[in-house]
Amino acid sequence: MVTKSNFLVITIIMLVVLIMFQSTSISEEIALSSGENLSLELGAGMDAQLQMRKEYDEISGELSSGDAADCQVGLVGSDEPCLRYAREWCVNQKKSYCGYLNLEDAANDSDCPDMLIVDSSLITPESGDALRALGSRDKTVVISGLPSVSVLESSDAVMDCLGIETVREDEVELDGFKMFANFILGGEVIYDDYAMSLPFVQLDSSVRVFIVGQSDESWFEELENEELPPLLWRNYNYTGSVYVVNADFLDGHIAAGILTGIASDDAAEYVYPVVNAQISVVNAFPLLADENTETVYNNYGQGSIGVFRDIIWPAIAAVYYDTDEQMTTICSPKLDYVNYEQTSYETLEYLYQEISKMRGEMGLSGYQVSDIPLEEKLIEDSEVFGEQLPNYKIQTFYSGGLKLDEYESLFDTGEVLEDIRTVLAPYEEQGSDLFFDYVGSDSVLRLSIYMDSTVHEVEDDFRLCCLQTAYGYYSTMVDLSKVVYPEEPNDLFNIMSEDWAKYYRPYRIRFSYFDKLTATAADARVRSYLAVDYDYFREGDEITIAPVTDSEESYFILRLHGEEITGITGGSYTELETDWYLINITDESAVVTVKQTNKTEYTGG
Amino acid sequence: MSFALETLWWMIKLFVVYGLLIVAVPAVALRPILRGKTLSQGYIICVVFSSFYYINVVLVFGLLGLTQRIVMIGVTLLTVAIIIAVRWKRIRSVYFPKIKQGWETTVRIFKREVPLGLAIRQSVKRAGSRLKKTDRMLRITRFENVLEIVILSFCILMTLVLFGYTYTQHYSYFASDIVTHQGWINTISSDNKIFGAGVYPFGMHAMVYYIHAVFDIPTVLLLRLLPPIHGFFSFMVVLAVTKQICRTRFAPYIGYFLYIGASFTLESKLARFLSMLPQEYGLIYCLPCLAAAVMFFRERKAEVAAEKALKDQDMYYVRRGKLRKRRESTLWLWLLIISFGLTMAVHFYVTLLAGVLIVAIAVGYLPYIFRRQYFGRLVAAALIAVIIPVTPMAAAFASGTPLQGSLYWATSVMGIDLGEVLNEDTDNTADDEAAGDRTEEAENDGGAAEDGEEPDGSAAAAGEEDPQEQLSLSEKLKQAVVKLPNAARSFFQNYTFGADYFPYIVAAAILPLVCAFILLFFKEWEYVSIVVTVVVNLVLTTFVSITGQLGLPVIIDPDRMSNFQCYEMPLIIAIAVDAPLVVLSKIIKKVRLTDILSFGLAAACIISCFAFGKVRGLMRAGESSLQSDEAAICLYEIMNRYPQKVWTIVSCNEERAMMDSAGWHYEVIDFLRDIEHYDNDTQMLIPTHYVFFFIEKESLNYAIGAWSSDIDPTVSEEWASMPLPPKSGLSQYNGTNRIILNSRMYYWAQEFMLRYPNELKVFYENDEFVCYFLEQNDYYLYNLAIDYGFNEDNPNGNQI
Repeated sequence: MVTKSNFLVITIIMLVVLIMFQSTSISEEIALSSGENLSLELGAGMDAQLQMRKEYDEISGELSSGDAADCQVGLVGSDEPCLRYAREWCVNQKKSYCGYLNLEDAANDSDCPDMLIVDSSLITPESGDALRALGSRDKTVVISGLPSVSVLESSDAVMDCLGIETVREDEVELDGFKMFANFILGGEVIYDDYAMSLPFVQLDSSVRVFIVGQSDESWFEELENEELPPLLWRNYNYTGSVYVVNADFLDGHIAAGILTGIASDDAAEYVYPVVNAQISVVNAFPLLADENTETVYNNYGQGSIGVFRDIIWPAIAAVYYDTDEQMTTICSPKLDYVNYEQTSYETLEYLYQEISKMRGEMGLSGYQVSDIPLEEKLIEDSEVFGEQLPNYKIQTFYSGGLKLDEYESLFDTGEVLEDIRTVLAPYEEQGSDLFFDYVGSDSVLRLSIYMDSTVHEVEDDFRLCCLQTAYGYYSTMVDLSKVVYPEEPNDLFNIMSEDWAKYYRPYRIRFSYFDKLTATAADARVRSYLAVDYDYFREGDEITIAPVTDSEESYFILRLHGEEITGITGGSYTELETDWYLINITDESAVVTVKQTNKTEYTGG
Repeated sequence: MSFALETLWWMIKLFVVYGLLIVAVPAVALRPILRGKTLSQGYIICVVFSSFYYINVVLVFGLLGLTQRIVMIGVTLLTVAIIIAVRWKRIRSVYFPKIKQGWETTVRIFKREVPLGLAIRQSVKRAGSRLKKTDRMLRITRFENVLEIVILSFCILMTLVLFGYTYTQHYSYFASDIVTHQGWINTISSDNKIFGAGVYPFGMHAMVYYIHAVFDIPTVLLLRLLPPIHGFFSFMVVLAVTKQICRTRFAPYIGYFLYIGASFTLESKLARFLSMLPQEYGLIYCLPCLAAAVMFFRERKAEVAAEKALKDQDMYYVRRGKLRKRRESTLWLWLLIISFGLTMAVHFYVTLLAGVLIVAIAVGYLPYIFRRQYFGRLVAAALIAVIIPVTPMAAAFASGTPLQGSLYWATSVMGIDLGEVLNEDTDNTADDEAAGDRTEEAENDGGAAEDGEEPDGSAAAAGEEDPQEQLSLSEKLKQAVVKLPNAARSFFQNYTFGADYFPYIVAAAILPLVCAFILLFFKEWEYVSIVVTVVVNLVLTTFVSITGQLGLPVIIDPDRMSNFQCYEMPLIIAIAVDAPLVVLSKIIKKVRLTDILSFGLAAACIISCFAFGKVRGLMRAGESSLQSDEAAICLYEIMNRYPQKVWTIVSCNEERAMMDSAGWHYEVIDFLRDIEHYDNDTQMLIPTHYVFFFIEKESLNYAIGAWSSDIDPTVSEEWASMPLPPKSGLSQYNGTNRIILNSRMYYWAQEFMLRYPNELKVFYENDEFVCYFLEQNDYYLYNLAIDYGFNEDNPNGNQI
């Protein structure tokens, strides 16, 4: 028999449970019905953005204008590509730098910085003395490439300083290379489809090799492991070090990763800031018009609106669910603004709700298959959103194939792209643009999208390892406009989605320790990254990292050698790989306690 | 973590494992045999039979080349299965119902059919009633039993503490031979065969290997920490055998305490028990011969009497079958056979001691042994006792395995010159084995010289041989008789006590003989035989030890024999106390009173020793002169922590055998020689992921101990600039050569660390020792050959 009081209690409990369960969906409904961009709360406010831009400009200026005595890095050479990327690396890692026209100048400078990055074309047979002088002063010299064979063969001193015993071949054809674990993030990798031709040198003792060449040729199989063609090594040069990069790894944005690997190898402990963000973008989704009807019907049996809503959306939702990535979609109301009418506002409303439920965000694209002026296209797109989702504030813009000058002016006019804070731009390995940069006068941030979600060649993997190491930043995109306008037979969604899923699991999951964010949230992290300055020092087993930033959180990577973190105050840490740690600092400074990994734990007595 | 605590933990685990192996498991397996036996008898039977089994499993399968771990485990499991099958009826009828009942109760508890509290109360009640039943059977709570439990516990605790303490202070082997023995044990697992270094009594090695293989305990751990545990069980055998021969309850404890706990004998008499040496290991099988013989004669006499009684009643042929079903005397005869055989399987010196004991038994039981009912059995037993242990060795020798070189030394001490035969056979024996034997000799001499007097051992005797050769045998014997008292006195003074206790020894021998004479009138034939046996054994062991001093051929090294004799000393002490009490009990006919008197004497003895400061301190072995404690710590940690076969230790020599097959070893001398003539082409690669470099900053004076004051063994440029010593046996690690090698290695490490500051790390360091650690890229190894400033032909080298 249930008493009255028990009955009352049961009723109250049931009501509470009902309210608890219903309240979440009700609040979600309320949020979605507002039609707002829910990811905006993750981005930085306008004032903060401007402040961070200002700080970034100040820091960048200070880093380049210091005296040699105060500099950490010396760039030896004129405006060679390798030095351009080295300079960008210095700015991003907040290393003050100065320039020298040649190696002798650096060697003769009593205030020469501890690290020099040298354009290899400046190495002459006479450079041996300068290299020895620098080595005897504990300097670390990074040479961007192997000097010509004639230079090497005419100077034993240069050979000795570079750790070369003999030149075995003037040039060998390599099919790929093997990068050993722990040089940069990503573990040990073998790239067997990365052709290059290089001089083949035999190294002396006292070297440590980080990358060696690979080949399928028969001569190669006869070599001992220690005789393999070296691509990147460190040589003990008196009391200093010389790093030689016998490949073109410093001639592009990946130089940031290589230089980070070198700097972190050279120091007992190395701290540098990172973004800690991964973004995954879907371009041309959703498409709100039935376009290229015949082709789409042939391939999918229905129009493009139906394909995007009924086939593509469930598939990409599953991929995002599986990869745990945050969705950033670049909406294309239309791709062809000349031949087709938009037909489905309902689809926009439906997919807005679905994307918002997955904590994703939508942006706009500059891409079109037609050729109407960009401003006109964007006005038309704005009208679509204005009619269907008037409260949705779009902050992300994908530049498509447009060059910066084609759209930069639109930020400043304050009309069609007035709300845009983030530009997603395709990546150019050896382009002149900075990897992260402010565009326009209104501090819009440009982020590079450097991976294609459906492609993963060896170059992509190497780039991924390098850029993840340097920036802790990953950006990938799948372009669904090809579903409607296929360029190749493989531009079918089932193939694309299969590639997308299959490349994530073995390759990209290696870096899953970095935060997965939307473009707006990543934008805030990058701004904070660019504006941060920091200092670190070690006392015994304690490493203190003191960031100078207005952000509540800042992220750093701590590279150790044979040590592990045992505790931290002022933040938290995550072990990325052996000896590599991601430090999240939430206080003014963080104190990291470390201990040597391989040390006896037994004590006598 | 403190290594001392870790050591203590390992010792506890080893104690449990070894106790299970030689006491608990055989006690279960041999339960039908043990029924009706005393605790002492049961203990002796378990120890001897189980050791015989374990040793012979390894020897037999070793001869077949099947010593793989899986085989050892398989054979063990098969044996367990056979025991279960044999005892299946009892297991099914007794144990299964109990297990079933327990299971059902547990299920009912989980189903809440039976309240947990009720189940616990019932279990406690059942345990209580079982305890009461046990007590009624064993009478544990009887006053004398309580007293005995107290004094036994005291003896056990004393033994464990006295012998166990030093292992928590020093972590290396305490004798130079151990690495050699370990090398031989290692060959059992690496080559899957026994007698890897030549035919040698392999009993101890087989036992250690068995434990290593079945329980996966590293050999190095067993050889280091098993000695105090095995020593404990050996001493318990002494106590058990003494209990077997004494009539009073507490007299054995007096003998035991004066041997172990009192400081009358030299500490060196027990020091060898701190190491896993075959001679001391084998002593555990020696005294069971006496217990077995005593029990054999007792049981056989009873059987003969029973047979005679049946014959007198003309019932013999009717009941003969029942009589023969299981003769207790046969069991004890087998124990005698196996005990003696095991001594031969472990070390010939122990066999010599057992042989002397057998002769003493023969003298003591002279009226019996030539009787028809005994003689045939004893002769057969003697043959079997020799055949069993010799068969594996003979088989190996016949199949082409040469004799092991150290037999040469052992037999030479006994005056037997195997000379050229062995030299031919042992060409392939390792240098360090010979070095180990030399060290063994050196240790013996050193041990005796501690007292500041020259031992009158074989060497002295050898010097007197020439004039002796001129004398005839009768003259020699005459002289020997004249010298005998002084030689015996000198022997006890120099080798056993360090003081003149000879009169007490004589008294301890004469007193029981007098008592035995009195007991003849009470027809205590067996006790008289025991007394005579023990006294004759004392006389014979003394005589065997001093033959050199008497101008007769040396039979055994006197110091070694003195150790053995001390091990048997509790017998004579206990008998000397026991015999008068037995006489008293016969006169006053109050056995309980003599028990109480014996307790009083035991208590008085212990208290007096404490009162007069004659209590033995903790057995302390100094830090080894073979391997530093720090090196041992590093070695154990490396073996414990890193996966097998992925690391190499570069060190002098001790670690090579100690690590067994867990990792790889590179000798310092080889390492330095490989990079000695350095030029750009020199390559020195060690193909393992981890490499450890053991460097003594203060070099040991290998196998010697302290350095003379004019030598500074600290690494220095001066030492490093001296020429690299040649590699020859162990000479490169002896004397100042070792300092040169360590200095070279030290400066190599300093230079390498400059080149690889993030790669070469300090694994362990203190003022005397440093261990460096290098983690390599397996695919692209570091070239360890560098110009470290002291390479020969180096323009910068040898600058001092």
